[in-house]
Amino acid sequence: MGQVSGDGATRARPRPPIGKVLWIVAGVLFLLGPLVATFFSSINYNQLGYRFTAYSNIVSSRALRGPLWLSFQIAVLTAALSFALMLPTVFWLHLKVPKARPIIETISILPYVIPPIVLVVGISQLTRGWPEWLIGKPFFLVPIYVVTCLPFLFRALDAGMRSIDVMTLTEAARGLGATWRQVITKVIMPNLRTSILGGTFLALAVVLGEFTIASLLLFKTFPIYLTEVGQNEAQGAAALSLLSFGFSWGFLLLLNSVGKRVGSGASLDIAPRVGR
Amino acid sequence: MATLSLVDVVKTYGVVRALDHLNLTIESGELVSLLGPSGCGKTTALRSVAGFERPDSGQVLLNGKDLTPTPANKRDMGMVFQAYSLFPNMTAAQNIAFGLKLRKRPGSETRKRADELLTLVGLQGRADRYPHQLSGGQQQRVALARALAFEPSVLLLDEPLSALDAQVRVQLRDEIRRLQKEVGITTLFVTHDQEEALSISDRVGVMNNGQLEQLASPAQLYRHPTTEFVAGFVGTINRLPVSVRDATTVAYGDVVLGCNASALPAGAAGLLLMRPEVLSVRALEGSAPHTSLGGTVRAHSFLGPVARVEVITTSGDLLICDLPSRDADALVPGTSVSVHVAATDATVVAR
Repeated sequence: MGQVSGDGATRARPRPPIGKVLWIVAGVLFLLGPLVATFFSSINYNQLGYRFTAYSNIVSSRALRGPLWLSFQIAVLTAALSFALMLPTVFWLHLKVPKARPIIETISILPYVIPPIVLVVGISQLTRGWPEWLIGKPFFLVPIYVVTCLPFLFRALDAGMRSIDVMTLTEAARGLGATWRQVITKVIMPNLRTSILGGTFLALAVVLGEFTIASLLLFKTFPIYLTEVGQNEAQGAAALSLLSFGFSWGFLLLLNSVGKRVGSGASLDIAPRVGR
Repeated sequence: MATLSLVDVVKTYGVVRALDHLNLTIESGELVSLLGPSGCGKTTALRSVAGFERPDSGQVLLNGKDLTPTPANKRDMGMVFQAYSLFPNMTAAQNIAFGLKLRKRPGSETRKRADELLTLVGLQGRADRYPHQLSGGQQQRVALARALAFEPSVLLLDEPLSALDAQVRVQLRDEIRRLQKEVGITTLFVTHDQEEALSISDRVGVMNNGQLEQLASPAQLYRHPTTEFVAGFVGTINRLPVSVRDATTVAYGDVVLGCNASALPAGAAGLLLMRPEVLSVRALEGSAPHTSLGGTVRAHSFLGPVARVEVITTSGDLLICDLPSRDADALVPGTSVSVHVAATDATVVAR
């Protein structure tokens, strides 16, 4: 045994093959290339040289704040409503009707394959005659975006639920006295943290980048503003694209850190410092 | 202390009848095992008690109170599952405390109880370990502690040892029995492993096709099975086709054998059931007495303390005999032998 472990200890670590390294470099270039190019076009003023005017304009622009804040609110509401609907639904699907999963999976992909223009026409037909205070407000976009996010959220939650033994964990919690709400909030959700974060990020990315539906329904969200700016000033549009990208990632990191705290907090809530 | 009863419980899944008018009563503080092959209905019975299955008809009674419409979270039963069921986001102590927290017990009591139970299952010092940091056996110990923590009326064990390796299984099996006796909790244990069932139970119920074939003490079940299925499922058994002569004797060809045949009428066709270790075998010179079975040794296997001798009777049936290995040395294949069984060691069931 000693001989074997001695050999293992002195053996040189195998070098990663050159092919693998090349693939990684190519991947990084592929992902970072457009970002770097966008950054340079946001600061390139041709004859005037490189300057950060577009960024300083954005920071000082009052016109940006409204659309950005609106998109942010719609994104958060969409994510919240989507999870409120989808989490119990996917949970129930796994627990009670697992055989129906392929059918629901197929249905869930429909919003992805139906073009947004068709979706808008359908919504317009459906909501004809509805009161103005309901369909005239930008928050009318929230239920539409919930449908748009369905394919992403379903897959994120479905993958998460498949990675845990939903049935046994649920029965264990029920047997210990948990109500259905407690099963979801104290047992299922904390164990789906990664899926929930992933799904939230996808929902935010979809909403913060959605142009067609908002444009056709005449709501001025962040992507609409971005397009308007791009038509007048290329550098400004590039800077805004980069900022929205950074904004999305920043929000994801924030969610991740909050999620971690909430995850451990939930456990503490259940049994603070038990048995230490 | 609680008495648990299943009264005439029926449960069907499509055309399959998982429980067929099942009746079972577990007395207060008793450990009853349900034993049977896959699909016999034992797990359905346990899940009906836990509230995870709703019987089509019949009742589940706890101290005489009908629990059938009561949801699982209000049944006051602790359960340990076959699959590892600890909550992955919680430590061992938090898992144990979960049921107490749901019952809004004070934090100090919860902590004390979790510590007590960790000590009881031999896992003191592992309170802060997460399930993925514990071995399978340790996880099932924590699951057992979690099931006992809130002092339920009944403990339900759904094959909790089947995912563990053999050595841990035996160790934990004995611990479960020790804890069950210590706590004095009424327990229903479901298993397909006869050794498990026989070794830790007060009574064992053998199930087949949704029905309870026999419910008896382990010794009674082993020595005096009342059906051919029970005899075949629990341990090794010899079966000889016989006809009942009267309440105390049966005929196997010309041979008359003593046994308790009072359950069958005279002239009925029966099966004489005998365990291998109750048979005595002697090398024969001349013909066998008419109260013993004559035959020839077919095979002889040395198994350490015992030797297994296979005898083919003069009528062509196989008898497996387990003898002290010293006594069996002379019984080489081809030897003519007589096989004797005491009347009290043989059971007759209907054929």
